[in-house]
Amino acid sequence: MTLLLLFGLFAVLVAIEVPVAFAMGLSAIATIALTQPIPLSIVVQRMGTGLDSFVLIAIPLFVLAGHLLNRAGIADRIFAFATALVGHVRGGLAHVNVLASMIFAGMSGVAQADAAGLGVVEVNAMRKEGFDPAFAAAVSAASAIIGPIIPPSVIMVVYAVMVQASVADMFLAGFLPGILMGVALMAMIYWMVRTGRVKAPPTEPMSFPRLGKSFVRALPALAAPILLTLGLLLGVATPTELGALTVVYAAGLGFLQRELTIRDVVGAARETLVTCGVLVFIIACAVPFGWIVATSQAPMKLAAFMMSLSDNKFVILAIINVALLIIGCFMETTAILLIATPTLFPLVVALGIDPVHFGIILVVNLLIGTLTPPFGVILFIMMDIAKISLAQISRAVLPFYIPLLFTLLVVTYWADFVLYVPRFFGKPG
Amino acid sequence: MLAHYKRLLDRIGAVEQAFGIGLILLIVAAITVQVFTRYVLGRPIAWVEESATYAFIWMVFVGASLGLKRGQHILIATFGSHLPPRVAAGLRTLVWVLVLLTLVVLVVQGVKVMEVEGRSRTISLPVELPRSWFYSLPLTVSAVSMAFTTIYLIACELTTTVRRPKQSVSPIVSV
Repeated sequence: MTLLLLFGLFAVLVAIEVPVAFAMGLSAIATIALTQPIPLSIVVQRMGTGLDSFVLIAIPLFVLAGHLLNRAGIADRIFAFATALVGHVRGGLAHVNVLASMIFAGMSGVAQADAAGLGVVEVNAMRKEGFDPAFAAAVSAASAIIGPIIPPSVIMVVYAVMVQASVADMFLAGFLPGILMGVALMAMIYWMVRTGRVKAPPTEPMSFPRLGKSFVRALPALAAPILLTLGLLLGVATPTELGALTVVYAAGLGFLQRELTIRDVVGAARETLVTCGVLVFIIACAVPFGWIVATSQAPMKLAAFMMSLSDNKFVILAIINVALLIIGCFMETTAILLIATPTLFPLVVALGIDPVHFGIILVVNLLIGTLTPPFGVILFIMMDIAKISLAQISRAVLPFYIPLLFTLLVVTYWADFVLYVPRFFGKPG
Repeated sequence: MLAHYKRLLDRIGAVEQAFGIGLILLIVAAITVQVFTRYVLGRPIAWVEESATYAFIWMVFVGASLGLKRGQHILIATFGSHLPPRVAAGLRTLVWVLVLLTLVVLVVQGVKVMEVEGRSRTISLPVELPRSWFYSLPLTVSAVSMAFTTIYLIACELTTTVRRPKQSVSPIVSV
């Protein structure tokens, strides 16, 4: 009953276009006031203390690092390097697009930064070469979601804090799925070009001098993800500390190359302030919401119910994936993550699924949700950049669901693949 | 009248922005110093980490308030844009009234919690401060500021159909 009220109210509030954070806060307040024998002050207590986490500080740091790198003109350099590397493959810039996103993913933690920063460079370059703008936008959108899968990743930080998993392990577990997703997207592009489904302009042959030159130009930019990766693999610093070091590196690099001014730094900090304020405020509002869900015992009951349907974890994971993909079409990513995690976690534990493994499944699934209409944040950004309609980009992105869902399938059913890197480099166990 | 009020909000926004940017730079500096002290001096200074956490909490609530002024809070556009303008303005008025209600509850409860929280102190800062300064206070301050913004938004919707209100749909920000 309590939960029906909570979720019913939340759904109605979201439907009449109340901002997601306030919809969560108000439905939690109303539910406590009407059904719980505890004082309302718990809401305020939970919200403030819920943010008292050193791990969460990684969020503004990685967002700021992304903004700084964008302003320092790093997207262009990475794109030029990726062009020299895979520009000669049939499909040309479409492959470059994916590879550049994979490299950029190594320093940015939100798909929005990839889409809005690198996305502009990618779409413009592809249009100039004669690609269909809708196809260019679709490739950029699909490859942008690699950003939060290859570390760093803001969404992984949020998940790790909620289930008290190691952020470093989550980050490490993201490497292989992110690379797999990139390779799968490239395979799809190759097939589409090969079979004439997409017209691709002829490509220039590979040139080693050009590769060398663009590598040297991109090296300072490439060093950021490399240092970050090494830092994670060797465990020399916590993800939060690595975030701060990336910020310092990005700012230092920008100043040395005279591409960054104090004004840019202030501008980047200003954008970070609003982006993170809005994002983490949702997290704060979700704390009392999640508290009601947890104390209602409903997650336990859900776990028992699902286990009575089937004790096969493959079947249950399939059900979870399908349900989340459907919800992802209509709902905002952070909100789903914040509600689904406490709801599903007891079930996950009961099934004996590794929390890190489940986190990666959740992250990949929810990111695909940013590409599904009617509510797909990345689609919105890309249609804006490419000046096309939601219908056009939705149609163009369709073929890419195949490699993306393939990645989700592999990630879901091949735990050893996901956990290989964290087991190898991380703490034992 | 409304224009005067807007100017006041703009001024509050400018203060929030300056404060928030300062906090972000403080976080970066604090954590960089922490890494430095751990590797170079061999031991981290505990209060540096704690102060970064407090700066973070303040930053979030200040940023959320600024986000409301900029119309950046994420909402899911459903049928609002398909409604006749007057009905849509009416619905948005209802939305902002509900937001205001939420904020009023947060302010009232925030003041209550502050008293209780104020009795316990910070853990490792060099000066002992009431814990409430870093938990319920930022939340309450930001809720007050957001309530002022929301009142403006309600007034805008009510006087609307003549003038377009501040844009409130911006699904650009999320994880």
